[in-house]
Amino acid sequence: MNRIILITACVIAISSCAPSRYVRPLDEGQKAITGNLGGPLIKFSGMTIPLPLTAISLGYGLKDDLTIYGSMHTTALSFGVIQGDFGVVKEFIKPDSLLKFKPGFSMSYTTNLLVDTWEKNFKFWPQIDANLFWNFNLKRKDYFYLGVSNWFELAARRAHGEPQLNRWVFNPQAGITFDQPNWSYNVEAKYLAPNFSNQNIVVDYAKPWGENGGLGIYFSISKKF
Amino acid sequence: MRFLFITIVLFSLSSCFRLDSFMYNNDSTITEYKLDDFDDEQDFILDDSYNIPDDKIQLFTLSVGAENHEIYCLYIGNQNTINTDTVIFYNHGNKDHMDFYWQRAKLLAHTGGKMRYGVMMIDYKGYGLSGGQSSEAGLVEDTKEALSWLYDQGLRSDRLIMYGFSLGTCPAITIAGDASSVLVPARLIAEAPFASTDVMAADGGLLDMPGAYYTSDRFENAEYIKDVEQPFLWIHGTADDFLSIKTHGEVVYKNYNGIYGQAERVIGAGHSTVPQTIGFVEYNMLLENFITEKI
Repeated sequence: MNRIILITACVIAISSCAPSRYVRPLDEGQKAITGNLGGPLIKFSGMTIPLPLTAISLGYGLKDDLTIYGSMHTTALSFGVIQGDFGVVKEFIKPDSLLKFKPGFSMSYTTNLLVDTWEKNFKFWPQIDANLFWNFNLKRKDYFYLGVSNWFELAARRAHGEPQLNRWVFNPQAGITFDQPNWSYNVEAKYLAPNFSNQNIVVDYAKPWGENGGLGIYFSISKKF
Repeated sequence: MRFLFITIVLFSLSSCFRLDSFMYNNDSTITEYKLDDFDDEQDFILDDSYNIPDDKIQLFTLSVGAENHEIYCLYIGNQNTINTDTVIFYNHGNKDHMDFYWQRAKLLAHTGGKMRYGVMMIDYKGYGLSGGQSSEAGLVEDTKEALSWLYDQGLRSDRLIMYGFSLGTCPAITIAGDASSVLVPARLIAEAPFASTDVMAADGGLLDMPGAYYTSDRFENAEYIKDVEQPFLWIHGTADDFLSIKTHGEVVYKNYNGIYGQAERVIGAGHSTVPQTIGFVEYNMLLENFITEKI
């Protein structure tokens, strides 16, 4: 079969379809709208490119250390799949100055929801992210971060009543955010599913680390108001 | 308000795309079938001892469906003796067209000796010179039309063997379990079958994602096989890096509940290398033994 067909599977819903929504919460009362683009690197027509998955998110700072957010995955939508997520991020430790190398720490919980307009198949996956982040430009609050994104499969059985093979997909991630008063820009890289073989599947992912996992690259831009 | 507007626009744009056509890796750019003269990429090329005399190769067309799409068919053997011969109907995979699978058809024509069995192959709609567009329903419709032609030539179900490879396992398994078909095969062979698009999606995305999220074609071989009663030979390479033997082939075979099942897990074979890995002679013997096995 054409190996690009299941590239589209990731277009619609896998744990690699979007970057971290928020690593550092917004200020209290602050709102933000974010567009992101990117996905797993795949081989396509002789090139290695990130899948052009897109989503739009809204965030609102409930408190200085607590932000709620919701997103709509626009690429999935164009394929007749309504994919959304909503969640909350909590900052547990504020970062110190760069010189002390003391990172901030935040965790987020996200519910990922999908339903297709064709057969009304409904799925949801809970997601928990944890990130350490370091300010490197205190004046502008720029920061970089290291963390892990965890997705959990709750269905006991997969198609045709077969036992579920995958319960937990985790993706180590690193990113950098350039934070200006009204805008911020983010680039994130994920090591996708290093606990899974990338062999014997239809998708022709780029395989920078051999037979396990893949690499995802994501770009985001946010307008704050 | 602006977000609401954007959302409405996005919803109005939703469902613009469907990825059914991506299931088919067909080539409809050819202007003629070249068979032995086809020199593009192929899985293997047989030596001259496997040549078929020109007068035993018939290329013809059938008209299919309400739109009368013309599909191309190829018969190896003597059309005048179909009323007494046993015929292997070969449902090819999703690549290109019949030229790509010509070597496989020739190899099948050497099962039990040179042209002991007639072999028929078709290009589904959208493949090669066949008109129309490919679809799951179309694969079955095209195959049934070809079976109707065989029936008209005198073939009966007890002398029909159906062999599906990869994508071709869908029409083969579907028809094998469809008692209403004009011909129902006496025996079924499936090489490298897929379980369903659900399994493809789950394998590719790691999470349990329905195949309906990206295609209307379901290819639910793992369900269709439950209706098959006839003897069934399943062949799958253990090193299939496209359709995993574990998540696809094993599930199909496990769901078979018919009178006789035979599994051939070919050690080291990939998706398209089963005959080469087994060896052409041994491959023909495997098929011959299954076809002639007293059950």
